[in-house]
Amino acid sequence: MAVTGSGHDGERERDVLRRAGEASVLILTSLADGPKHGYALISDIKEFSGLRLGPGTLYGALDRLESLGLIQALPAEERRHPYRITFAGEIALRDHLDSLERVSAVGRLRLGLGGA
Amino acid sequence: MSSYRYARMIEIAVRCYPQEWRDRHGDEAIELAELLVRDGGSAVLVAWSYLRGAAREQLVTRPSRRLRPALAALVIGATLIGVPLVLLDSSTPANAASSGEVIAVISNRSDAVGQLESVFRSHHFNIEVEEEPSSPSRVGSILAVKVGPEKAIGHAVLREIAGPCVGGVSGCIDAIAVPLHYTGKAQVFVGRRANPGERYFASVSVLCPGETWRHGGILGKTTVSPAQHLGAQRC
Repeated sequence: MAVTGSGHDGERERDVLRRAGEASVLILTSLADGPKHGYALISDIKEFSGLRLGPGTLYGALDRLESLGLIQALPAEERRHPYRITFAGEIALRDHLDSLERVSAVGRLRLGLGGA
Repeated sequence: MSSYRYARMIEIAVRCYPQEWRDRHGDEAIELAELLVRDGGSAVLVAWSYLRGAAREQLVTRPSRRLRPALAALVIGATLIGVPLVLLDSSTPANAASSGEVIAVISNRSDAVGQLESVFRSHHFNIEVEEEPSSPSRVGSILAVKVGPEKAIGHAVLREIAGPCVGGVSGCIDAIAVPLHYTGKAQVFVGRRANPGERYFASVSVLCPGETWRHGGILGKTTVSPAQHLGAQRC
């Protein structure tokens, strides 16, 4: 029996992170519990995901997220620029995680692992 | 790989980004790289990550001229990663000829004078190298170049080449390009450690990496009044 996801076209359109790349999702997830600068972001992401973001990837994603209004740069602390997640960023992350959960549920069902 | 070499490699990579990006992220990017390498990360991978980011950034910010700078960043990347920069290898003579120029590079600051003199001598240039006292971060780099009066009558000019300082993006002069057929006189002044009582020939901000105040235990560790007192004592 084929298991498909229910129609969520509207939600997919709302999920602005769908094409933003994994780094963007990881950064927003990291910022969800408070502002961080580059080194703290890389360390935190390594800790909770096991992935080590390259610094070039990090800055590219930070600039992209800032241009989308999903994060905001805070005043610099010496050479370091901390960022915080914006309200729009929280909503975007929540939408994206919801979307991932639906995909996850379908995948688990198809693998016979039980629903999420 | 020595810390000086990896720092140079990373700073070269950061220089591939557009100026606006460097103004905003440059200093932090270098500090971040230092921290990642200190934590056991590979300097080569960090530099490569910056180079890929720089190529991407050039494509985004300069759509009208996007291929040339992006390709340049990747070519530099291939050089950095594949052929770990001949110029960074202190065992290699500080000498490279390209585009009708001889480029004398200081790759070993403790032998800056010897390296420059060796290149100038081998090409029979009438260029003297002299040492002058300088503030710590300028020791072993080129402080100034003085060209003889012949310059005014049509001799090609010597070209200073800014190299990446450790910990900064403003750059130090650690190479000089001399036209292959240069016949004029010139003096190149190289920084040396100052002796007590000497005045610096050239200095940079006391807050730069390698400078006394930056590493003297004053900044960030005390309040204004004691810092002023300590500063007055040092002066």
